[in-house]
Amino acid sequence: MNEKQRDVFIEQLQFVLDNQLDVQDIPKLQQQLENDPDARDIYVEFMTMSSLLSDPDQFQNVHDNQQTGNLLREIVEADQILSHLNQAQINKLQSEKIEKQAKEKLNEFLGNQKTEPIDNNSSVNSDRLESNIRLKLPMIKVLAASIILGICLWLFLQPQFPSQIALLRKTVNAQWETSPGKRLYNQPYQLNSGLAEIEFNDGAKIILEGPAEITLESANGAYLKKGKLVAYVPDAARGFTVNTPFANFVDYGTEFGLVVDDASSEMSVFEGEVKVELQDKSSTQIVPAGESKHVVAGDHQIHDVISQTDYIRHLSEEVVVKPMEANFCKEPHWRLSFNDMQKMKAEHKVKAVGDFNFDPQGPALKHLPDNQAMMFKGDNHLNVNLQEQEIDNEEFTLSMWIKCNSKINQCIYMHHIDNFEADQVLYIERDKNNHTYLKYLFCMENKQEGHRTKHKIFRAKDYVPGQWMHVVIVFTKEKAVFYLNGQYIDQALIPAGYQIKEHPASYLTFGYAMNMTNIQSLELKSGKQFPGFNGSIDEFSIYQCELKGDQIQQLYSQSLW
Amino acid sequence: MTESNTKSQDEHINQFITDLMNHQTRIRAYILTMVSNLSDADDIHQQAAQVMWQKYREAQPIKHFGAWAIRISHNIILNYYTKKKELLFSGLSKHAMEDIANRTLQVNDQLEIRKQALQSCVNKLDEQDREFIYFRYNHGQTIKNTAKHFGRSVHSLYRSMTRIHKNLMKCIQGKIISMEDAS
Repeated sequence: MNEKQRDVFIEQLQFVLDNQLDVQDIPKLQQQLENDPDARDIYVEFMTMSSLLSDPDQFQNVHDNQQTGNLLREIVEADQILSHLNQAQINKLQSEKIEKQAKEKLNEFLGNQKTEPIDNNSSVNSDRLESNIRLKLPMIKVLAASIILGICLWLFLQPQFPSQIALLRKTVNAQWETSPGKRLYNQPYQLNSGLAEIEFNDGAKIILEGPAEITLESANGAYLKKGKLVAYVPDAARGFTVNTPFANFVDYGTEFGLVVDDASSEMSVFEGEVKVELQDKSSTQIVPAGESKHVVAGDHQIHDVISQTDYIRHLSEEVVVKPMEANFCKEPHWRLSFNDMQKMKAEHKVKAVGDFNFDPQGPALKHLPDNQAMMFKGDNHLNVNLQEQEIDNEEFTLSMWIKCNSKINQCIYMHHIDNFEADQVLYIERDKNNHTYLKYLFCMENKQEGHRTKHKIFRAKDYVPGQWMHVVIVFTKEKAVFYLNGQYIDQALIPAGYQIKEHPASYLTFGYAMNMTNIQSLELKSGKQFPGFNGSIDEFSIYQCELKGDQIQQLYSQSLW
Repeated sequence: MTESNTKSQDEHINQFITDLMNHQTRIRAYILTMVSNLSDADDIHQQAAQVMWQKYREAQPIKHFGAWAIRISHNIILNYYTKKKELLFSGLSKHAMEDIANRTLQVNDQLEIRKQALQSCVNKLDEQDREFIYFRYNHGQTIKNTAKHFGRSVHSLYRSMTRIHKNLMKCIQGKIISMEDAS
């Protein structure tokens, strides 16, 4: 392998490392590994080095204090998260037992004596903790996820923010409590009436009949609290499980119907076999095709029953699922508040850069459990990076409360880069007549013509520093609309040919604008930078739909005390 | 559960943690080399740690923890190959894969020396290159995100990273040779 071939080979290994190698490049690389011992040597050297570089203690000498401090915080936050777990996610009794074990193991691991366990309200002996963490640093992530926290802490740390696990394939006259859109996530859904066909990622399909309350739990399972469903489970999805309040039903590659009400569950097997297991595990039965079983609350038995229930096993009328409609857009898909952020930091979805504090004097919003806002002092910023998020549809709404403390000429709030082709920036600027504007700027790179263009700026004049403002920006396929304190301000057409490629939360920065991006080159003289943000942001939310004017007005007015 | 049982269980857990920590760098290096992407390697590492614990608590004390852990990891990796058909390794012959596995184990025997050499080589990088490496690996970021963070094009960062990795590999080789000569 000559020098040039070696360079190309190493460059391709970078792609491999990120799982980004083009499919057409794989055979060539495979051929090199197959036939060339040199290539195998370089491969092993490269991968070993990458493994050492990604070893958490590799940089300990370089960034020792920062690393230890961050880990210390991670551990303490992990413990805090543990104490704020959503008990509804899993069986309560089981969760309490595991949580107790997990806390004990965490305390042991951190070297605390049993007489002084980690307590959310007590201060931590940071010196001892730090020295223990320093020693045990390399394994913290792996162990915290698997062993130390009672083997299964990860069960609790399921993503706070939903991951897509199923698709809504068809609906017939479906009325949802909150319209779900096409992609379905590991969260509860309520179908008030009508029918919905849901396909899970692992291949199982259900026809859900309203009224029904269901929680999609995984790519191969759900919890049916109330309602009726028919499940069709291909071989690939064997093991598909429907949990109910009284019994669990595990499918062995078949078709079955299930109806659940407040007092009982009834299940009929149409084809194949289904395992029925009582919640307390006291009884289990394998039910063959043609039979039905009935389980009643408080009765620890599985009863035979001749089913009188009519099930709908096929949807005759096909209705293409549309993106969610504005009327149903009640809750944000994604929200960054103080409480949520603690959990997101532990999941590495949010990274605070610099000294970061919370403003206890956040806007007094009556619907919030906390009133703490993210506080910026000009030398810190926050990166949000939800890599797994994709664009669900072409309509979404950003909503946030912001306050700027400084009287400087420019003050950046938020910077979103879309696949390096477009920048969206929210900032404050004061003109030479001393008028202060809140501005939203959209810049994009025109690849065909090879230059950058600045598009419409929304402007809200005479903003008063120190006041909280409610800002909403609504994106549709054609335009972006800007609202301030519930009032429409301005709108702009989205440049022809531009399509939003990444979810707004896929790469978002608060309090800072990146160097060398479109916004920098267009808005500032060469070599200058936007000054850091001095102020606060709260309740940054993304709705995956187009909020209408009256809803935005309502959102603003209902938020205030 | 009696007090002595609890104590014995605690000792068992502590011994496992100690063993795992002592060998985790080696285990991870093996997994990454055989899996070839960082994200799947992390998943398999976690999965392997769980399986190891399940087996460890049922077993007598393990004499050669490192070899035992690599064997468990290897089985999980084989299972992973059957699920993911589009992998780099899916088209390789058994001979080539075994050769890579053996070379990995040989390299892993020098892991401590390599670790020291790498640390020294990283410290020799200029500040910008060191920041690239730090952000990519220590923050667990892809090249694409690293490029975004530093305001660089993805293409140019791939080029820079290739140069940096090449230099690091060369530097490590030099250090290993001089360490071996010295000893």
